[in-house]
Amino acid sequence: MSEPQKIDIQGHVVTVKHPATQEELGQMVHAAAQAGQAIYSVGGATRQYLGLPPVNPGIGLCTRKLDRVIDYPARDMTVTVELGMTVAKLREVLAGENQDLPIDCPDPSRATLGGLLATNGSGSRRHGYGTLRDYLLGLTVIDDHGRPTKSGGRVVKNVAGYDMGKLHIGALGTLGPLVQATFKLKPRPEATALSLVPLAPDQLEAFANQMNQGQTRPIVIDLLSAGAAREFARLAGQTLPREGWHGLVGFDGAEMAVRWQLQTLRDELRSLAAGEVLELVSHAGAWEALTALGGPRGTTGLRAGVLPGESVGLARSLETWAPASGVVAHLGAGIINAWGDPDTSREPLLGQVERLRHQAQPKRLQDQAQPKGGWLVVTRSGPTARDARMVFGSARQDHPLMAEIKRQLDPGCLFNPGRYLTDL
Amino acid sequence: MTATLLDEKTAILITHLTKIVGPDGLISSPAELMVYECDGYTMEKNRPEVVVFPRCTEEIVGVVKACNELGVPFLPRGSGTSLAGGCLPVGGGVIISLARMRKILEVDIRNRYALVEPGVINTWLTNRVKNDGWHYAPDPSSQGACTIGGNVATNSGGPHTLKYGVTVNHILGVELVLPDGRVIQIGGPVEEAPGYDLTGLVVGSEGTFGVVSKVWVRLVRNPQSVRTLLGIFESVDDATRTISEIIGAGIVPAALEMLDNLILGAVEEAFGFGFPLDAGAVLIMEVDGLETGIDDEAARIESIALKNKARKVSRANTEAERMLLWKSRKQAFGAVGRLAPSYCTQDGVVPRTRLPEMLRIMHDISKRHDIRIANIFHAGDGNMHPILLFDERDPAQVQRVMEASHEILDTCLKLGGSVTGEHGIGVEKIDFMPKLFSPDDLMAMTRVRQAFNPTGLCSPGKMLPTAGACSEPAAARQLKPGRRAPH
Amino acid sequence: MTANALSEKTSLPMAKLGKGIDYELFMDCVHCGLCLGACPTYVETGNENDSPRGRIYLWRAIADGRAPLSEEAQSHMNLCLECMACETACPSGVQYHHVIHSYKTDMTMLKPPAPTLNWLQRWMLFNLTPFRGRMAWSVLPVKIMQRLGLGWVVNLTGKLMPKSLRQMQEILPAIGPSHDLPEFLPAIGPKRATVGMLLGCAADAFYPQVNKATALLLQHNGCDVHIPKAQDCCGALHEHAGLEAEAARLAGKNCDAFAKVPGGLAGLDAIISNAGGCSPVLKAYGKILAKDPHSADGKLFAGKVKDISEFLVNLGPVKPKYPVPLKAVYHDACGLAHAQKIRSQPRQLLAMVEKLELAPLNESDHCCGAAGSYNITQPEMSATLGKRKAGNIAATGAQVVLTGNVGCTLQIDRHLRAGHPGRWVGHPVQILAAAYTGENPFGLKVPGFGG
Ligand SMILES: Cc1cc2nc3c(=O)[nH]c(=O)nc-3n(C[C@H](O)[C@H](O)[C@H](O)COP(=O)(O)OP(=O)(O)OC[C@H]3O[C@@H](n4cnc5c(N)ncnc54)[C@H](O)[C@@H]3O)c2cc1C
Ligand code: SF4
Ligand code: SF4
Repeated sequence: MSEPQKIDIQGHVVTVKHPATQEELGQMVHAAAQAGQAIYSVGGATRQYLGLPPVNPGIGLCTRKLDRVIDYPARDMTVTVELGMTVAKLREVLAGENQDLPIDCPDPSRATLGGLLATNGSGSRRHGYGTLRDYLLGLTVIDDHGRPTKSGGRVVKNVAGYDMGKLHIGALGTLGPLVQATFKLKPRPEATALSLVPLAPDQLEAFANQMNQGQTRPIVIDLLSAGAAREFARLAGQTLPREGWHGLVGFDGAEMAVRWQLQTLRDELRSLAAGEVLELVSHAGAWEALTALGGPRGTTGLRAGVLPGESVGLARSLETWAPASGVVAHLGAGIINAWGDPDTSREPLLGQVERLRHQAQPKRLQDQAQPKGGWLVVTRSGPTARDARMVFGSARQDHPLMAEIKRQLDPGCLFNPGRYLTDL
Repeated sequence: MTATLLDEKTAILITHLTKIVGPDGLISSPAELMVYECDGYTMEKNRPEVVVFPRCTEEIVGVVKACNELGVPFLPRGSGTSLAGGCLPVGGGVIISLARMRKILEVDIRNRYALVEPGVINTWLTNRVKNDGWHYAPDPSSQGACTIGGNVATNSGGPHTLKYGVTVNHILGVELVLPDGRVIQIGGPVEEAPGYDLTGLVVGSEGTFGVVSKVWVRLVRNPQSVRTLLGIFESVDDATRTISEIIGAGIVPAALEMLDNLILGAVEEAFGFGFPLDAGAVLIMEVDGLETGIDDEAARIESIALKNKARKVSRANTEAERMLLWKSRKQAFGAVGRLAPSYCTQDGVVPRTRLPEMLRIMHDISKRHDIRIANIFHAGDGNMHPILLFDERDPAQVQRVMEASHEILDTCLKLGGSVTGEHGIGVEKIDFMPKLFSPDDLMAMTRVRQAFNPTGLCSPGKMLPTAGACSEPAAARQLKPGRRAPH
Repeated sequence: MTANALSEKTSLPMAKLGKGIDYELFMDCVHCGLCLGACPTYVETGNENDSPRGRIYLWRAIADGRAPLSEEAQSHMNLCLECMACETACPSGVQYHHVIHSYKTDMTMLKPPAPTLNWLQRWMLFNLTPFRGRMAWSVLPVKIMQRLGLGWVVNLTGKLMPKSLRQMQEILPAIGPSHDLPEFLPAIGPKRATVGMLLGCAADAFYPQVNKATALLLQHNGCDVHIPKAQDCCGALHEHAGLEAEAARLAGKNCDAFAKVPGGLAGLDAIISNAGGCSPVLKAYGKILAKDPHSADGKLFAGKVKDISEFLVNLGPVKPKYPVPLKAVYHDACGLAHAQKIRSQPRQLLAMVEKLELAPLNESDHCCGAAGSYNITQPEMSATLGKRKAGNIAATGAQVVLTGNVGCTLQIDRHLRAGHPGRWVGHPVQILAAAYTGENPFGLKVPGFGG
């Protein structure tokens, strides 16, 4: 396998090293620290577009060669692996025991587990399965002296010491390279089903409310804009009976239970559905398509979080925000992904984003000086240059504390400098 | 420092604090303070100088700032059910009791969360939302008494965490009074705001990062149906094999709890539930979910149990029967007092497949030290609560119990487990931290604590073994057994 | 030195405090704290000194000589309701009643009984209640005042009357017509049992209709009912106040009274009480009379005492005929739920009544604050708890509140009238009697119901 020697991180080209072991990686960190070089952690390089460009000169440290299974006691339903392992490889290993780490990842054959952790990747199944923070049991990170530091453990229940792992999930590698982790696993379900429900534009809220109180217990409750539904159908190799907004509801579990839920859902949504419901039963391609929707599309990508009850409103605004848009709203969590090709000649991207960002505030909190509620992040910005204000918005109340933690754990600002929130 | 100086300082402290919380917002007389010298862990005691009962965040801030000004240590306390001495005022100082902050501030079913003050008792929250068909999932056995704030601080688990996860999986955010008196909101009802997941870090920090003054918790819909089974086994081995096989079959039960023969005897003597006295172990196995298919799942569990030589598997047919079964599981602790005048419980974890091995070693430890050990545990999680029975009036037995406990926990570590699954490190297990973690690991944790709690005035002597924090020799503090509630 | 420290200096001598209790009973408490959430006083104050664990620890520390019996310590001990919710909650089987009893007994040795009471309160409590006749007499003026249409009379007397008597007056509900029950009532239908019936003192003065209903229920269930006139107060108040000799005297008197019925004590299948506050003490006559010449009778008597609901459920109740279309809630009197574990029986009986909707009541077994003489000795906490109870009841929207103890009825009625008026408070037997006879219970109009 020939590994790339250079990588372009948002327009900054850095030289990449490929340590073969955790120790070697540690030594490289140590050396870089001595030399005053920054360290940019690289996994599968599928999501380097997130965050901000590097600010300090430094080297890339690629974890891809660290991909051993350290321990897989299948009956304990835990696995300990090195984090350069790709998501697909882990899936393969686990499939042998009919188990899974049920976290969606759009590009599993390239994305590494370390990258997935650093970006806190999640997708549609988060409604039923939660996110990485619900699966990470133990984590080893290389510290600013190049020493491995671990927290947590290998058992499913453990409260010894601070749960440092949580800190690193979604930290974009700013607190050190992640090299090894133990995950809790789930059994693979016997059957799965996706139900694609066409919705009239005035029925979106009703659909969301119904899903919150219906008889079924879905693992996916998504709302797809017309653009997203079209894209989903294309990826899944299906033809949509009808254009427009769609509800996408997923089930898994025992076959009988899945069948019962499909039927019940159909009954419950009878008056809501604007047309024929498309049911995709045990259709691996459909799930892959749904996961792939989380990958980069259009020139610009946005990701927002709001109270679940307000996600329909924001999803609507995001749909009309840009031409060629697509919106996928995870209604249970209130997390919304959107893409499009916005026209920045009329209004700069920053203005557009700030307007949407304001809208992401829960109505009753909008007047408060301190943003407490929703957030909106620019995942990709096309040709527009990225800065902290545009990408992340203004700092929140707990930001000084985060900055202090960063100062404590990485006083020399070695790890991914400049790439996350200001001072992190 | 001389006694008079200390008194003077205390008097100033009391004057300060009275201004903030009012005369009925604190206690400082020796008799009243006595009650606060320990929590559910009674091996170590130390009286605080003052206990304050703030009624709102602002009062907590006032108290914390006053403590900072006077350089007095302080620590939060919920219901004091900690089994690890989390509420022990190491070095004295001020206990900040959250017992008067008991309001459920907001219940938002549509958005699946509630906002509560830290002193709200765990079951109150579920009681509040149960008529709507929702609940708060983490259910420590102490849930009728412990507070949500305490649960957050210790990352509590319970019988149903096997399927639903522990406290951290259900906390969306907190308002935190930092050790320097600043108030910050971390997380909140909206998930995943950009930045570090400080919520995840604060959960389980055992009060060393400040005082949690509000909590946003996730609410969970009640399952449509529940089936509870009772399996009776000839041996602990058969029971543990059943557990492994159930999990291996891809079933995720809501709970898998085991009681061994010794415990059964006590339960039977106490309550006469009708458990067979000659059984080696019983398993309480619960599945929940949709009505459709749940009987199949229960039947699968039943056949796995029977295949593993269960003598009998019975089902709770009514809600009343189910409650009775759960009661017997929870009441079991109380009965332990009948087995011996004193007992000491541990909170070890091993990978669940190693349970049979662990139990065999434990059996051996029990024989070698001539100490009876009763077992009751969250079998599905591999979280054991071995209860060592002895008579504290016999120093030789006390010594043997200490050694046996030590050996048990060391074995847990050797088998890849942990010395605490849910009760926390507190002061009790602080000396095990260097066995679990390298100096570098501990340094990283210390650095994080430094970010929150640079002066160390907040909950000193907890969680991390920092030099100088404890005066008593480690060996003496480690494992003093005694009569203690198991969980 | 602080004021607190000073008061400890001037506190009472430590004598032989806490020595009257088997030390092992202290040891039973493993300090787990599981009782905290169940303790009404702790839930209100948040101070662990006001919790079961705290009180046990405090009393033990005092017994050990580790802590002084300061005024603070006493105030925490005195605030205990003796509701025994902690015994229900405690997984370790701690017998808290022995602990609090030991405190109460020691306190009466140290100083005159119930030192927080003024002379009038003491007079009412300890001289009045034992004599059923006098109790009825003493409430008479209030009764008259109530019937005179309150207004100026109450206002006027309000100014003249000491505060404590005013409180007494507030407690009082509308008082029903008194029923002079005969000493014997025969079974209706085939005879299934012979029972004795206790009237209680306060109950008979305030709610004679409850006794009438109880007797009627027993008759309808095939019981010959003996109601000896010579019976007296059960002695519960005295027992709780640590006045052991007086309690024993009353217990002996009651044994004598029931021994005189035809067939004697042995001839009775059960002795029925309808007051959850009395029956735990009646069931303890064996112990109370252990050192008394009556000890044999005491044991026999105690073994026969049954709460009305407990007895009927055991007997197999006859299903009543008439529907009672009401929405009701049931409040668990502490004496029933905690001291005797009687929870399901009253509910089972009520479930037999057609059209009666029994709504769930939040904190149904949380003490209402009546607790014997507590509403007079600790008026503030009592009122707080009464309000809490009334609030919980109001939240259910029920028209009717049922509870098996006269103290609770008085307390709940009072606080409902103050905060959430328009609800009827009564004893489950009244609803059952209505369901047997088709007659409206006193003070309650069931729509579309008999006379
Ligand atoms: C019989 C029994 C059974 C138990 N069963 C279980 C069980 O099944 N699972 C389980 O996990 N635990 C169990 N426990 C342990 C204990 O109940 C839990 O740890 C519980 O979460 C403690 O809650 P508390 O309110 O009593 O907290 P406390 O004991 O008062 O405090 C515990 C720790 O939390 C800190 N703290 C409390 N409130 C705050 C706050 N507001 N902000 C910051 N820090 C705070 C304290 O400083 C202390 O370090 C059991 C205990 C007993 C006695
Ligand atoms: S009384 Fe019982 S529940 Fe309360 S602390 Fe003692 S042992 Fe625990
Ligand atoms: S008897 Fe009631 S008030 Fe007294 S300690 Fe027990 S629960 Fe609390």
